Amino acid sequence: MSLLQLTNLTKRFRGIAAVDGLELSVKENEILAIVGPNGSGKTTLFNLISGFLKPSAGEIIFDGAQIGGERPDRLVRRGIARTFQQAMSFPQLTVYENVAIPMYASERSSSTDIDRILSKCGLQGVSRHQASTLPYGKQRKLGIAIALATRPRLLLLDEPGAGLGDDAATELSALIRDLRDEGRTVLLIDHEMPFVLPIADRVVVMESGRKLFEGTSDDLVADPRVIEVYLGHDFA
Amino acid sequence: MDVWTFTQQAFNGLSVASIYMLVGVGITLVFGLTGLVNFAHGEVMMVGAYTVLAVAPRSLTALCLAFLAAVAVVSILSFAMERALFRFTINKPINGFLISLGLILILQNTLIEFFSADPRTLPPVFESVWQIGELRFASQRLLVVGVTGSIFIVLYVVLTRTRIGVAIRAAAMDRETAGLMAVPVNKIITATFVVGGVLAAIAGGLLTTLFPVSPHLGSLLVVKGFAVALVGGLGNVAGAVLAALVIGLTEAIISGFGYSEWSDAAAFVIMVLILLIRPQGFLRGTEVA
Amino acid sequence: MSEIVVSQGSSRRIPWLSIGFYLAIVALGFAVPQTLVSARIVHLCVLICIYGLLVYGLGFLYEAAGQLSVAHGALWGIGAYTTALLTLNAGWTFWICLPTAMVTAALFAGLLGYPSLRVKGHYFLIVTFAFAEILQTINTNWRGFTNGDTGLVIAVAPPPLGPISLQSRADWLVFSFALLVLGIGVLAILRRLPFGRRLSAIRENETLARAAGVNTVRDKVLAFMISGAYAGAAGACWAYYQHYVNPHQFDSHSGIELILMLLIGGIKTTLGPIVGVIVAICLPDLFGFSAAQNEIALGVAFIAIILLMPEGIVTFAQKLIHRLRLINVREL
Repeated sequence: MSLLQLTNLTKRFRGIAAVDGLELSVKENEILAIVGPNGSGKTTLFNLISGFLKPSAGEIIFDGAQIGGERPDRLVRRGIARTFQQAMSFPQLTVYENVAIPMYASERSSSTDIDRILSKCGLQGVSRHQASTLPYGKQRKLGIAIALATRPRLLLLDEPGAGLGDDAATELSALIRDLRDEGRTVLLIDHEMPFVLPIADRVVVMESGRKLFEGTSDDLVADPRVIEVYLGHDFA
Repeated sequence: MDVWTFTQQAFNGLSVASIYMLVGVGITLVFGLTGLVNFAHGEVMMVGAYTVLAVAPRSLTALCLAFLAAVAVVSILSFAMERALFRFTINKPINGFLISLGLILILQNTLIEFFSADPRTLPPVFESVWQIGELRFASQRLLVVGVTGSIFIVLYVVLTRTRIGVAIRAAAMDRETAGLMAVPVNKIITATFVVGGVLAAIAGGLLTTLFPVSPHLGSLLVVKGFAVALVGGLGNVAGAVLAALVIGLTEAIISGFGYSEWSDAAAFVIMVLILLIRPQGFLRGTEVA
Repeated sequence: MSEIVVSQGSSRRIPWLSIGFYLAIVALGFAVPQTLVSARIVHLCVLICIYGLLVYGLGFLYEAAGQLSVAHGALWGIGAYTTALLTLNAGWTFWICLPTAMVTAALFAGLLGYPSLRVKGHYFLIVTFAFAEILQTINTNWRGFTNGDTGLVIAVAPPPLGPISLQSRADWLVFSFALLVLGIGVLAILRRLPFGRRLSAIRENETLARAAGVNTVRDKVLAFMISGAYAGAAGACWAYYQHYVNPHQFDSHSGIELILMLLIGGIKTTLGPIVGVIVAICLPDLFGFSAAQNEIALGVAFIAIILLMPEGIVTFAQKLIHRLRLINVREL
């Protein structure tokens, strides 16, 4: 069952198409990874789905409704949440207050949820600490916790594993699988194949704004086009 | 309104637009490069205006000398402002904005202390009026348009054909990368600031040939200058030129219809409309709104 | 659902010492008119209270939503002129003009805020500055309606409202002080409501706030309207207390001075803004400057503070005392 449907999705900036006629169907309750070289349009795609950019052409259909061009806060109410490539938080607020913000924004969660989310993300020990004092790994988790506090059905994670060491990365993989098992759908951008391939149900490779490949992790590593894009023509 | 009145008003509007253009381009250049919102730009312009008034020129030669004096004074002032004050706010433009507020109070009131707040007029250097059919072209206004036109031709050549011009445009687009490519960004910033000041000084001098001036005009003109910069796209010089023409012409037409008290509101209304419809400005600025 | 979370942050313990301190100040404030003889000092205190309303309103917008407005002088003027015009042309009393002025100023703030708060912060600065200047120009030129440069005179005093009478300067001091304290209290409550929480999120990281589900434009416009209402209230008081309004009192300079007052004291503490107001208002009396010299001194002081102690005098003093205490402890 398709939760998110992208039809001919295009975004142009001064004539250059960052996303170019993309067709994609995201099934409910799957982990879909989007990979590709820098500049292939991955973050632009996230910005389009989460309402931070308006499409130049094409449609975005979520749960049967057209959502292209809607504001981010309205999409949160529909159940779409996202994290950002850089670790983002509300620096002077405590960790607890950070995760409480979605509750003040809409009626989608309550205070019992906050404690649960904090422990799920391994942040219960630092809940009274100011967000700006957190080490990098915990800041990244805080970003995810804030997104979780909006009770999303679809979670967009933008390079969640960037800069994490091996242990932290393993924890993160477990967390993402856990979120999927809870009934959510996860869309994941990352560079690191070793991180992404084991947990993704399906993988999409983007290049120059277009979909180069779509399939399972196993199919991916064997595909000649993907190898060419990542490693160059000689290896194909 | 018939064609003749319209053309007359258009010409008058052109001279006013020239002044807005000079102020607005200085603002947009500095903003595009540093993100600084410098409201004290209007006061810098008035320093130029009052320098010309102080020289009290009676002949064309004296007028040129007065302008040179204004340019010299304002260059020193702009240089000092940038190096002593704004230099420290480069990473936090909001502090630069706040400093500019303090500077407004200091500069405007210094002018009031030295010259009093009463409006002063420059006795006209050119009294002749060219008449073509029903149209009257006052020589002073022709001077304004002519000087502005020449300056913009020079500016265009400098920005597109010289090394320093290209460096300025590169730094405006991406300061970090320009710095990595051995563009002396700090010097460029100071130079751009001074150039902006010089344009404002000339605008101030030209203003004295058209209207009576008082120190309070600085605030009103910086508003027009920012309206011009914003409507044209912050950071976009060509946009500022276009926006100045639109605003100047609109003001002139409103005056032509007899509502001159409301003409100042035109700039504000146009600015708000642009924000509602096309925030990045007529021609795109250097940022995505 | 309007669950007010008692979060685990340390700022949620009830600050008994602070409350006691503020109550002492409030009690002192009410005692002042009875004990002080000098009319000049009473007058200055009234000014401090009226400016205080303006500056705390401005501070709310800045501290809560991260936006500075140069238009508060103009919004103040809208409140004052609404009051004056309604009193002179329609015979309304002060007590009806006060809420009307607040609503009118809030509406103008809303109209001004909607286009300019949808885009990046510096556009708001530009638009509010432009609004202040243009409004003053229109006000001066629209002689038929506002009497232009000559200004408007309100000769009457407000009629008594129950036990509250506003006949003497001392009466005004008690009233304006009460209004100021009430205003500060309302803001403190607002900060603890979900609305206030959302605003602090916007101030900290607007992009993340949007991603967390906050309708940032609506909340910023609302914050601006609330701060506008404060300016309107100050305007109504000003019109009746000074008995005179004039366009030049409410131009961009006035807006600039308000920002200066706010930031000289600093926004990180509750008392910061009023310290800034006191400094600015008492300055001419202390040094005997002319109006122009006063503004120059204020400008110089402000630039020095921005460069040297950008968080304002009060926070700087706090940190200094803290550091001195540390030094003393180490020496023991």
